[in-house]
Amino acid sequence: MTTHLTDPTDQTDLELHPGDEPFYLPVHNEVKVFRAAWKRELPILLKGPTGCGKTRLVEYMAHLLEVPLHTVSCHEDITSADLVGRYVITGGDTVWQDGPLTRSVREGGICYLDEIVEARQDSTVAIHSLADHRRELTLERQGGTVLRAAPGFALVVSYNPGYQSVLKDLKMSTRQRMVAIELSFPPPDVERSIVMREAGVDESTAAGLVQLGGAIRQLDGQGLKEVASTRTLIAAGSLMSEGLTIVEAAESAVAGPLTDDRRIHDGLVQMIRSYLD
Amino acid sequence: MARSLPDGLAAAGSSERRDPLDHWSLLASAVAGRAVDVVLTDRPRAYADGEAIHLPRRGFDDGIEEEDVMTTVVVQAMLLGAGSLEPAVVGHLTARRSLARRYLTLEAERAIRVRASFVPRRVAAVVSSHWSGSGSTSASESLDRARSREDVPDAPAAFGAVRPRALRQSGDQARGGAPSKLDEQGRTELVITPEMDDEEESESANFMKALSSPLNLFGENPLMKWMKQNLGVGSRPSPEGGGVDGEMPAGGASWGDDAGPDAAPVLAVASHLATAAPAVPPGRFTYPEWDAIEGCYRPDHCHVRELEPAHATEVVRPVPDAALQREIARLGLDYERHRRQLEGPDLDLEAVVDFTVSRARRHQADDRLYQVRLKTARDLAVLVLLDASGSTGDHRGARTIFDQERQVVANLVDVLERFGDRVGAFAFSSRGRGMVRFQRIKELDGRFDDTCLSRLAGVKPNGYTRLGAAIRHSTHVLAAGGGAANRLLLVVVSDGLPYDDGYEGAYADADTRRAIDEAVAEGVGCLCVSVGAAKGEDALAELWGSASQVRVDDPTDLGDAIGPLMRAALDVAAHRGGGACSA
Repeated sequence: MTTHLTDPTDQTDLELHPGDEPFYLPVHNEVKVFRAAWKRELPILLKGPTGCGKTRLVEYMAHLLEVPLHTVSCHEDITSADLVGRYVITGGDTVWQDGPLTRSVREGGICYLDEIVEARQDSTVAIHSLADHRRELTLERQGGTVLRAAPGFALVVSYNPGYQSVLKDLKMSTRQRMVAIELSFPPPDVERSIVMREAGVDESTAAGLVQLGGAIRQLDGQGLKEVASTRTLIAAGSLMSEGLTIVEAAESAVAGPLTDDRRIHDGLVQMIRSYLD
Repeated sequence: MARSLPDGLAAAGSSERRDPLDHWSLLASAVAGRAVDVVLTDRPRAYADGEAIHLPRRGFDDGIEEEDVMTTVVVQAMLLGAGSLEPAVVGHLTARRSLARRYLTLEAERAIRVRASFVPRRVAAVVSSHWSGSGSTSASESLDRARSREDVPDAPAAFGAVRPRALRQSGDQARGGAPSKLDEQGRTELVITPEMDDEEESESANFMKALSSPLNLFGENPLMKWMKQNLGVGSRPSPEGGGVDGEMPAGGASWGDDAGPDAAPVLAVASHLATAAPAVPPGRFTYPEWDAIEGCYRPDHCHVRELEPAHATEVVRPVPDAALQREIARLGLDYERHRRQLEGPDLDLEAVVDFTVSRARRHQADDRLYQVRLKTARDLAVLVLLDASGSTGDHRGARTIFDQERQVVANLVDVLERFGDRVGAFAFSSRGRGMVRFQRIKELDGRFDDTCLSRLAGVKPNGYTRLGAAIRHSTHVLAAGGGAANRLLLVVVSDGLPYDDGYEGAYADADTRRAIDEAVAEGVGCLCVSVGAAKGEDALAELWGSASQVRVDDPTDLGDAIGPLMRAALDVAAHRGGGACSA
């Protein structure tokens, strides 16, 4: 039997400091919708494939709206105490420690539950009263203390529709409380600018990588579980900035991570050579 | 930039033989926007049918540059993706080669615009350097222009050719096709029609066509061309169908049209290699078959192809079945941890910490401190395999057997999915060992949604039943896609006995039984459900074993019948397959 107590601060992997604005290039109206929903205190549901910029959008918005951000990467073993907080025993005393959700509620920040359906439903039950008009969090373990969310608080959850199994879908009642923002991979010209800026490569290189990415995204049902994301294209570009050739970089950052199947790998390498060489 | 190919014939002759074209199929699929294979052909020019791009074997023998292969693959793939090769349009090009080549030039220019984002820059440059006249806006416009007197050059050999007949044939197969009379009779002889060919068509037919089409006489003047070719005026002889124009490709000696008299020995070597190194691109699989007469396996004997069935406008709705739900609820369970229980064999540490905290704070403490493992977790992956052979098209009252089988599949998949099991559904049929078709209704991943239901409605009974290969492929799908599930089950919904070209009677039965044994050894439980009063019921029970086969009169009777069978099949697989878990 293994038991581990999670320090809730482990989950908070990002607190932004003023000044270091995350780079985000809006594709559609997502920034407008996000801002409107935040202003009207509506929770936000981000949908989109892996690596298309969901997390980056949230980081960018937190910076833009000047609120703290607490990100929780959800997984199956996460408990409600990991989100809300728990008492810990320190030298004979019991001390309450806020979880990331509770901290966001108190501070008026954004609490971002990444891949929320990975968490079991009983552990995310606390978000229901926060997601509707009440905007309250009940701390059962603190004798039922009710916290009212401070102004600026926003609940943002993300999920990747094509990715989860049947059992792991978001409950309809939860979904209906939310404003959905659907993200997909950016159009080629936007993605090109993103790759140029993030990886520090020239326009022609970025254009080649983006064309490769677009072509791989055409390969639906060809044995690839996921396609080349903007993130992988940036990774390939970054390797080039470190002196690798474009083919080496794309083989390492795009073909390798996408598949273990030798045949599909060879096919991807052929694509890389055709588009980039 | 151009290199010679890494795996040519030399690689094919080594101990690890691989098809030299496999690695082109992803590029082709990306450019076309749908799954396309790349395979070898003995024809002198590259061409595409609806499913694959065929590249001339001879080019590889001559050590063709990778750059030229890429140009051909991409041009043919973008023609597929841009709708340039729709049978309705290219049908007009049948046996009119010059027209087809002018059409190819026009369509390559159009396709490159339509698929611009997916065409490698180098190929785009090659295509635009060939011809940069004004572009067409549709395939039919290109057809009209190719027929007109407009000055359009022939496409170079590097672009390949258009073969209307190949496109039409594969189009029929890809769409599933309506069951023919032969299909419906189930056990009739397979009739293989020899492929008529555009380029092999007799010159007299060409001539007659030319005479009967005055428009074309004025356009490209095929009569003159015919006379030129056959009376030896102008161009040199070429091997295609006994001497049509054999121009050299624009880019030098790449895909030679002029194979010349030395073509035959090369082909002989190459066809030997083709059998030794079977092409297995993604979506295609080869399996051995058990030869009971010789007492050995025939390696790489059957070729299985996964396809996407056509979507129908209607859907097959699952009918709720309480008995089926009850049976399946009890099936395939595994242990999972339940925390915060009043009693149990282990302490729940988190509960103990909370308890200690509450006591220290003099709050009321929750004394559910234990954890226990209970058999409540779903641990089952099921593949439902629908027999879509032509014989299932027989009517039983108002509905066909196939309709009823389809209903069984819908009900079964629906219930399994509700319980959160991994469940996939495929329909299969065959036309000889080279063509065992698996139509993907639902993959093991993903939802059983309206798309799947309309795919299920879109499957048409057609062809025969090569059951052994179907079971072997299902076992592979389950083993590869069963995920974390330890209990794997294959449910075949079928009305009859295995039967196919060169696959009948004792031979077919023995191979099927062998395939079932292999599946069980892999830990996959197998059972067969048939609907309606089948004729050869005893034979069916004998084939599957009475404990693994059941017949129901109506899809709604499934619940009570299938539960014990599924449990038994899982038990057998668990014991024989060496797995520790049972149903």
